[in-house]
Amino acid sequence: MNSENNNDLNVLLDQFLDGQMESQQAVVFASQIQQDENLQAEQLLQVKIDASLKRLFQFDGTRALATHADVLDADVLDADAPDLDSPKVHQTQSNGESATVSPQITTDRGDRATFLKIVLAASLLLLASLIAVNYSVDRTVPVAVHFQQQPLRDIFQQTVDRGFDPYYLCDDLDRFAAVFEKRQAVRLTLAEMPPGRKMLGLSYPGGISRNTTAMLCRADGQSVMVFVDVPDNEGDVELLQSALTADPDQTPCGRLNVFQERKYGLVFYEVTPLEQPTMIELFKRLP
Amino acid sequence: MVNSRGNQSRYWIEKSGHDVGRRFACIAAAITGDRSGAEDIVQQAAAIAIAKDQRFTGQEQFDAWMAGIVRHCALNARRKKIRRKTHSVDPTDLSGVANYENPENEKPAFSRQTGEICSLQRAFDDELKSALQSLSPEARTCLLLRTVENLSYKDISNLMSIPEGTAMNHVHRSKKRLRTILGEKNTQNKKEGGRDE
Repeated sequence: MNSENNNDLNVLLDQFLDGQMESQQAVVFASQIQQDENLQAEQLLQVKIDASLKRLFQFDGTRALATHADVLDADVLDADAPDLDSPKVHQTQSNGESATVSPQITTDRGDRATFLKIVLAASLLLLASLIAVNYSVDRTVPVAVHFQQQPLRDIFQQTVDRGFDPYYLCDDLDRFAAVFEKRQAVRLTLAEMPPGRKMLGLSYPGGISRNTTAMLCRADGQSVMVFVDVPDNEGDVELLQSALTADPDQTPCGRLNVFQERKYGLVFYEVTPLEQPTMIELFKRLP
Repeated sequence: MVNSRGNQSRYWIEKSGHDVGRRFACIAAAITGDRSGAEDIVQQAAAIAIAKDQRFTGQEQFDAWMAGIVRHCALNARRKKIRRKTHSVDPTDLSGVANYENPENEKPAFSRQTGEICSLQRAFDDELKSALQSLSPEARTCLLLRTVENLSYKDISNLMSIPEGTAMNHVHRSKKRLRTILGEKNTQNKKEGGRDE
């Protein structure tokens, strides 16, 4: 039996089993089945399939529709009634099958969408609150960076211990003035250096305040530091001028002197092993 | 034709007999590929229908409209089921499948020692269920409405909103496909020396 014949017989068998065949033709086909083992097997299999389908999918019917009409309350359901007249959505399922569905009926999806909306709204609210808090904090309570004043002698000693190298080798007096203008709001320059004195550069080691600008120099072969800041930042003057924490006799610099001078609206501290201040007098104010 | 509450959908649902309910459940089961939960889907569809409250000229029109809602609900349930990693199985289904060929068989569906499914898992119903998954939901629905509910192709056409010829085609093609799959499995089982169908 070739495949074409097989197909024809399958169609006839379906018609026969489906009751679509006329009575006379059905009698003829029934006798044909009796003579064909393959057809008999097919018929038996189909009968078995039909019986199995009925067994698997036969419903009582009493539970499906009869009971809920008494249970369901249309008035309650009216509130979230889906709109079946709305445009249909053609969807492709995960198994590749396509289906046309009304989005309103997808209650699960609706619930999820609502949940996502709530989460989004809550997130936005939280973000807005954080921004508002941050804004108000910025406006009312400026965040101060922690700074602790130190004795200037200690800073001098630490700088010497690190090699007495300036942070900024400033050879250009215009740049020198620009640095002080930016940090202390006063343009400063240096007078011509007398013999035996030399400006090495600038450093920002703190000391009086975070904005203190220090100048490292050499005077008569000795390391000297000048700290420049605004008077408002001076704070605890006693602390600034206090003795070296370490034993002066044990330090390379030996005993250190701290000299203070106010001029040009600024305060100058010179830390030097010399007996007299040698560098403060060289600072001049530019117009 | 409106009841005291004025809800047309409720009126038609109340008027529908058990056989109509069975058909809807059959549609739901055909689309999900599983009978468990089918009646719940029909009830969900009925709730939507009552809430919607459409006007109908007759039972046929209502049945077609209602069947559409059942299909939508069943498709949603099917999508949920596909996304779910695990599925619950009705124990009565399992015992029924395990014992249907041999009612005297007292062997349980699961081994009490290991919890594994016994060899009876290859029962014909299981193979048929598996083969049904190879059909499209529409074809499966047409097949079940015709085979289980003995509906005419005209009624199937009305419920499924498809032409009669398409419904008939679905049924015949589905039957042939099931016979092919199950016939091959039967031959394979015989070769393996397993259970003779």
